[in-house]
Amino acid sequence: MITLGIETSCDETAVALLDDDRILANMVYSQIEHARFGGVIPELASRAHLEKIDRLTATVLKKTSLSIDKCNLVAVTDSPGLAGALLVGVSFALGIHAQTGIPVTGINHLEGHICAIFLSRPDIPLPFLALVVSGGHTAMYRVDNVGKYSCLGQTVDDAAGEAFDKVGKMLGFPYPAGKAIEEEALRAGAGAGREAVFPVARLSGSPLDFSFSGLKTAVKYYVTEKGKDYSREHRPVICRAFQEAVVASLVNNCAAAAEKSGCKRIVLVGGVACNMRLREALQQRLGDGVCFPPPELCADNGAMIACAGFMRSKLNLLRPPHMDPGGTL
Amino acid sequence: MNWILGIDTSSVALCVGLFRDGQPIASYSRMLKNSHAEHIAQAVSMLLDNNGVRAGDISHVAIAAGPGSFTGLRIGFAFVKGFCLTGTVRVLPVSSLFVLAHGADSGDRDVIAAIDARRGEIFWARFRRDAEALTRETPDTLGPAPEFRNALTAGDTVITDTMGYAQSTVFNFLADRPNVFPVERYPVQRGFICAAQGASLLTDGSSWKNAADAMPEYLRSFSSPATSKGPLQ
Ligand SMILES: Nc1ncnc2c1ncn2[C@@H]1O[C@H](COP(=O)(O)OP(=O)(O)OP(=O)(O)O)[C@@H](O)[C@H]1O
Repeated sequence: MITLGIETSCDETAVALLDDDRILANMVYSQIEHARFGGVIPELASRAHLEKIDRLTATVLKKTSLSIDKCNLVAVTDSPGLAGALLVGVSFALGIHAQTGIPVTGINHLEGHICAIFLSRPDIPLPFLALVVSGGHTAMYRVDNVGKYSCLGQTVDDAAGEAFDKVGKMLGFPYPAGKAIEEEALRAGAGAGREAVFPVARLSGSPLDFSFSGLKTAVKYYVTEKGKDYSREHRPVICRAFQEAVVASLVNNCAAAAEKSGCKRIVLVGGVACNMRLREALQQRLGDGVCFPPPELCADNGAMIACAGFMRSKLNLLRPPHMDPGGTL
Repeated sequence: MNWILGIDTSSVALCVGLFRDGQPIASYSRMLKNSHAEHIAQAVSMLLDNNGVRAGDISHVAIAAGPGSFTGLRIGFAFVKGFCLTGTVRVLPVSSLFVLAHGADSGDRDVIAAIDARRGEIFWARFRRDAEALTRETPDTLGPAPEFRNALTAGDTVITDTMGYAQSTVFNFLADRPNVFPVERYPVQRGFICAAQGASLLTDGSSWKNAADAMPEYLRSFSSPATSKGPLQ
């Protein structure tokens, strides 16, 4: 079964073709247009999606030497995300449908992130816990099957990736800053500069929820208090301390969720799952039960959306696209 | 034989129309606020099915290209880009103001088409009626409301579109003028007019584009700070 996956929910225009759960092509255009604004400008994102979407699709088809009428399904992200950005992908998919009659299914973006694991581990046993950590979301789900998710905890304020990006902005990194912070933290070297320590949030009433805005504020105060020159000079140490606090919070909640649910398999997905320190810390704490897709399938991509479509079609769970920018899983 | 599909999603009405060569075949319009994306595929399929036309028969698509609702324009263009992905369909972007101007019964007077662009600004253009056809007198323009007001002369016919903006006040000053047509009261078969324009330009190869090169004319750049809500933080 050939599935075309289309993802335009935020600032990545992404298109992929799958043969069942095997990737034939997976192309992502990351919109560099936003970097100079230090964050995603919705109108700009929508314009850029429209400029790229058809050429990217044509390139994916060309790469695989397939014509569009060989596709059996078009899977497109319809929630959650930026309304104007989602609309470009959904309308494009509907245009393909109107021309070819190929069925179109709407896919929840978070379900897409979770389904990325089936691309690298098609045999992964169910149920498992999925920690989705990205620029827009931080949430833990129990996955009983494709289409059967229960949310165990989520961020009450910022997403983890958002915290990376905001702290990055404070420290002078361009948007998005996650990768740059990870690299800068490596420069801190072991041991040196232990004085920067930031708090790891624990929410007493709902222990599986996350909170990152206090951490962001703590970094802000630290940087203001120590001054510009000091902060520039000690940027690697600040980055490491910040990253350790985020990692500790994510790892603690994973351990608590595993304990509470009795489910020892944990899947880490979303853009922040590219972070090697997070991967290492999770494995140290939770051992072999932890797995993650390769980095290119963690950040927004079309293959994960196509994969969710393919998995849903096997379970007869296809549904027409329905725009829901604020949708949840 | 050429089948020409017309599409206009630039304002609150979702409008499609169909021509076979120079001959009008069908038109369909529906008032739909904020749900063009959900209905566009259905509207096009219905238009084609009812007239025994297969999607693959469409050789040309004429689409209202703006100015107008940014989101609406993108829905139309994204749809057309998907629709034309397979083959050699040619695409004609048509000015939304030109389309709108057809809604006014102007006799032999000039027609000014005007769209509320919000923030006290107006998209507008002036057209002259020669015999049955409208010819353009001024380019599509975005300007402050007073500039538009100054551009009007006593004999002009004006057609206005608030794009469903209930609090629109920029056209209030026209209330006592004769020959003013608010499109809300005098709806225009916009998709049909797009298709008609396509039919009249069929042999003019230079007006038509590949779908990949067809883009909306926003007439307002994204970088003007008030256009966007600022970065998502
Ligand atoms: N190595 C890394 N370490 C930490 N954060 C990272 C790393 N690489 C990417 N990120 C962060 O991941 C985020 C991007 O992730 P992704 O592409 O999955 O999501 P998004 O589009 O921002 O949000 P969503 O998927 O929720 O819509 C950014 O915030 C970025 O800073």
